[in-house]
Amino acid sequence: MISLLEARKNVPLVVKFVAGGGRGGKGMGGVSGRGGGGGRRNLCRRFSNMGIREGTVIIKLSAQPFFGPILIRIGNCEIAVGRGMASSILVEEVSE
Amino acid sequence: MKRILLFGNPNVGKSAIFTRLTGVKIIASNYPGTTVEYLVGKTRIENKDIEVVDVPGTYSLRPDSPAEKVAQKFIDESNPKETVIINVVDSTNLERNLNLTLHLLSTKFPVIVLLNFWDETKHKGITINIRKLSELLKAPVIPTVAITGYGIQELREKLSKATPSNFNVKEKDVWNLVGKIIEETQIIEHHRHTFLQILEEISTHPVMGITFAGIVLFLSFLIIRLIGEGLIGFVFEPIFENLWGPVLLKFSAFLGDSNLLHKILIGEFIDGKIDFYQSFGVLSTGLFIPIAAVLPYIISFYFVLSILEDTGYLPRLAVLMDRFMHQIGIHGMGIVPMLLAFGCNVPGVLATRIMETRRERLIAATVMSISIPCMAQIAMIFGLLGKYGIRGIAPVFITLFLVWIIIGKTMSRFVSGDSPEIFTEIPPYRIPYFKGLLKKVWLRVSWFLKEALPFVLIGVLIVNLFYILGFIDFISRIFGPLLTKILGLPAEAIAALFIGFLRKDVAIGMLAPLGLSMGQLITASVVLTMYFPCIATFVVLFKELRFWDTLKASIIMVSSALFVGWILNLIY
Repeated sequence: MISLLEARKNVPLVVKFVAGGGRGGKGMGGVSGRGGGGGRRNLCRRFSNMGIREGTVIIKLSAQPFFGPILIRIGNCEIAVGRGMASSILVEEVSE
Repeated sequence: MKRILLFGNPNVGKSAIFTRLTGVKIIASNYPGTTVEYLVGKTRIENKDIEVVDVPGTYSLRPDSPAEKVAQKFIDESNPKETVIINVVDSTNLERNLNLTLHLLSTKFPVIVLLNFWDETKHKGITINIRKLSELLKAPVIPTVAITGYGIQELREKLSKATPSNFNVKEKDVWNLVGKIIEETQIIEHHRHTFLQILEEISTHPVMGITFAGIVLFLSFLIIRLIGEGLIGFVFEPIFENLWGPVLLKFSAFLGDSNLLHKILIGEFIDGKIDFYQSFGVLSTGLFIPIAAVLPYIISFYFVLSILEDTGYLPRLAVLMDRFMHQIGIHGMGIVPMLLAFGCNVPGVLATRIMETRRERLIAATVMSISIPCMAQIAMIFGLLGKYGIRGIAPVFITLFLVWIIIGKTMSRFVSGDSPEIFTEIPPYRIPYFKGLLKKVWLRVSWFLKEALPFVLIGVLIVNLFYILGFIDFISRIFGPLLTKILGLPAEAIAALFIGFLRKDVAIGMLAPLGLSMGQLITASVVLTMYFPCIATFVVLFKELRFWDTLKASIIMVSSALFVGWILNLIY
């Protein structure tokens, strides 16, 4: 299991674990000066609402440079996710 | 049935369906979260008036975001016996959308499911078995294409017959059930990459994306200027010079040229004739500024912006700009209100609602109303400083950009609260529906005419009355020396600052007859942009930020405007 940040691009990845509440991944991207937490309190549910949950197959499309957002594809849908959030999604490459 | 609630994920075309049902014109765009406030309209079905509510886009019925709280409120407050829910679903994203659908079906309300964007399923290689889906959901399912009206008739027919579906699913089983339903009803074939999909890949590619964004923004700017200048040079100025001018001259002769009414309505003669920029009468400059100097740019700006919106480019720009926007403590989607503000700060401030936290909204709204000039101002700045070319124009915009960054950075250090990360859906590129696009441009332009035109006329009237009553002389004598010392502007320019509360385009127009040097014009343009928002923006700012935050924002505005003006005065 690796975090979405380290995963390879353009290969199917299966979501293994989504770190929910708390402050998952704070500091990973050094994103934003203050706070953290609040926006992520319902992280697990927000992911789930967008279709990211254990067992979903996703594809990492791109990572913006300088700790910018990660773009993923689920089915026909593209989603942009900040680095801190992405670090709380653990994935595994789908074995052929 | 008395009420229809339109539910759906963000960006599935609810607003377009709403427009189809009610005829109420609202703005639909290809990015999530266009409707944060709910909208209510009326439709007639079987000769009865029925209320239609466009509920903000939600992913679930749990109140995780402000939009979802509003949605929940409607579920709680409506009577299931008198209400029908229309669940608008993006048929190219069935799986994700069904989560909300199953939640809605589990309420006591009758639900009708619309598979919107039905036309797009074909070229995406998606086949959905509608009959099967309807059986499994125990609810009517209708394929629709909101922008062309396909399926709306069928919807109208089925609305009055809708009944609750007695669907019941436990929270933890929802996604399993969605999976099963998808398996039984949807087939996705692999298909070749379309041209639009290749563009999609390019526009968020780390390297090519930036280049692409540069090209898009440069072209946008070029087209805005081209259309704007074209309309002014070939349409509006000739109309004023050749048609309206002679009429005014006759009217002037009729009034006799030295009485008060002449001064108010037609203004001063410059070199023996009417100068639409400098005469400053209600019927000369008062009509010329909004219609001939500003309106052309409003039209061209909203035309280009609407194309960027409807194709779906803005969320991609948000992804690219995310890191940059975090410099001022807001995430990438903050670029959307910023761009809107270039048209007019009012919709810009309203659009800050797409940001999640108070901190983000305060920073975005303040920074925007200080340093983003609206199209009316930009047009006037170009009108005044255009003759100096890039030497005159560039310092104004570079200064404002620096102010944007510095104030944003400072605020993001000191304003407490959260700055969440970006988390947004990126819709596919869509070819804009041209008729809808023109309608949207017209809606925004007519808003400008309705809101701004009267203000400009009143503004010019007040300026003249104040001059006549000696009020302007009075305040120039009091505040003039201060202004002259700090900003290096003549005492008469204080009048412009005063009128700037009302309309900034009029205020900048008032600088024209003062014979200022280039440096003074640059200083005055920057100070006028920064020192305070116009009255319309101030009102929405107050509504959005409430008293204390508006006060904070105002203090920042006035002090930073004086400081920056002072620096510019030292330079020039």
